[in-house]
Amino acid sequence: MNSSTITELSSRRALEEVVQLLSCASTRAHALASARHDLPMGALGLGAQLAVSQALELLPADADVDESVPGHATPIELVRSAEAVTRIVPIDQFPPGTSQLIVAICDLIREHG
Amino acid sequence: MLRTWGEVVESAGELWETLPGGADPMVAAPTNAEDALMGRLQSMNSTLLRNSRGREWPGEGPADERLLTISGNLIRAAELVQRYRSDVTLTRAPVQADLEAAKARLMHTLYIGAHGVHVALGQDLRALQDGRLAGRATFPLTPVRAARDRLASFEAIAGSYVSRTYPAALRDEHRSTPEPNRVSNALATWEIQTHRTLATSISGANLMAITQTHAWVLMAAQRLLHAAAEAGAIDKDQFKGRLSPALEAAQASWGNVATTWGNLTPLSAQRIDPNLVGATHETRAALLELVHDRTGPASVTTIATRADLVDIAQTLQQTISASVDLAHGLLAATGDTTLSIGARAALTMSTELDSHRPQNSADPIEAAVDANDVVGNRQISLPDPIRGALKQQGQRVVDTSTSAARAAAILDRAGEAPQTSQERMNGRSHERRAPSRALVPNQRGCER
Repeated sequence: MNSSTITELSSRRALEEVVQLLSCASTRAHALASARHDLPMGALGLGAQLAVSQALELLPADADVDESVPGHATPIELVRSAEAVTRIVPIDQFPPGTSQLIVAICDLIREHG
Repeated sequence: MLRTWGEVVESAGELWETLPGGADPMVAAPTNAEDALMGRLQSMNSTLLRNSRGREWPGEGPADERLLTISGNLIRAAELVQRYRSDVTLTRAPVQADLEAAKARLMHTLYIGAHGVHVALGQDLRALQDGRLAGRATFPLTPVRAARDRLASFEAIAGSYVSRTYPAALRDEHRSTPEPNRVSNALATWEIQTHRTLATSISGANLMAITQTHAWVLMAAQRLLHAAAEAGAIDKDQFKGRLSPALEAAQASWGNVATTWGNLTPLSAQRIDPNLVGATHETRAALLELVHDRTGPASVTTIATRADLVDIAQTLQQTISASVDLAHGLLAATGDTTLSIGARAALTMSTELDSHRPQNSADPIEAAVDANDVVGNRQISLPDPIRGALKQQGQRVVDTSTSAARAAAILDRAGEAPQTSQERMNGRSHERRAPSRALVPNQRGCER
């Protein structure tokens, strides 16, 4: 396995993890928003869902993302974790378009952090 | 990028110098640590420019258009600040806070830009090293390495400022009043896009996105109309007694459908129509601009300063009315035979539906889901019993949306003075509400 293949695998795995974390954040935020009639939480859920779709566009169709995230982290903690995952791999090793995804995630943290 | 980067740094220095209270970091002695830091960055940039001029690398060539645009924007900002800086009173706390935010943003721009150029230089160096091995590059690589290392140092210095100020310094940044038509344009664009998406690409992901968004829009509408009621822009009693409960019921029913589609659509299949994503982003941003403040909900008073609540009420009436049409579209889409869902979610929902049927019912619903599909969590056609359950939810959406649209008729009179008890008794209010005969076209009188 050459170095570019390893890079592709690590950036792909990182994006898969980002998708899982953001999706979990969205699901939990929507549930909390409904239960508490919490408008900012609903906005976080919707924003995270849009980011999930953005992240999926960067992955191949056979991406392995269907496992759910264990634990009881809050939605914003999950979004922060997703942002931390994007830092594991250097930006130039992600596919084109990842920077917009990272900006979207940072915007969510800024709005709700 | 290296050819153009110097201009970005120089433009940033000029803007920094122009900001009220600032001194030319290259001429005057810096009066504080911030000015000293910018002076240091300018000095590093001058050295970098001097050392790269007239060399074989990077040599002559095209400029980077993105960095040119950034530089142009910074120059334009400096011109505007120069023109209007005498209008501001620096001792006012809001002005000071906005100034700090501007500096944080400016330094953040340099930090991000330096990182981009540093990454590009690293790539260039690798390509040149490969070319050298292949015998193509003949000049020494020392200046390339030096430029890369200088950019890394520049990034670290700018980063030291950013880590102290960003994004905390943006907290009290001045916010311009939102564009008056932004919400109405965003909602109209989103509504059109939902119909396009429903006409061309029905999928679980798109139905989930549409219902999630509309549920949130209705929640935001409640917040805005609450502000309108408190400000007297709409009838407070009618809002509290009739419209608010109707909106809450509609919001809950849209939210239920969203949850169901979210559960039924595997994460790997949650790619939303990109046009719908764009329209949803704008709708979310336009409404957040009114209802969100820093990291939490905006107060009623704050909302009232950001928007004309009479206009907003009328815009929201259109949205609430249009949601009946969208609800019917959603119900019709549920019948689409190409819809597919995840097998595991199908099994879970089938088991749930079975648990509500009488015991010993023939043909349990879960039997319709193939075990092999569940193991691989394959996409399967929407089973009829689940489609039936979704149609029931869809019908509930139609009913609650229709009730909300009827209750929203009070928004017709947004901005009128609240009616007196005498008006209620003498029918004046009905007269005000009825459309003028001249404005009612082609009344045929046969619809009874």
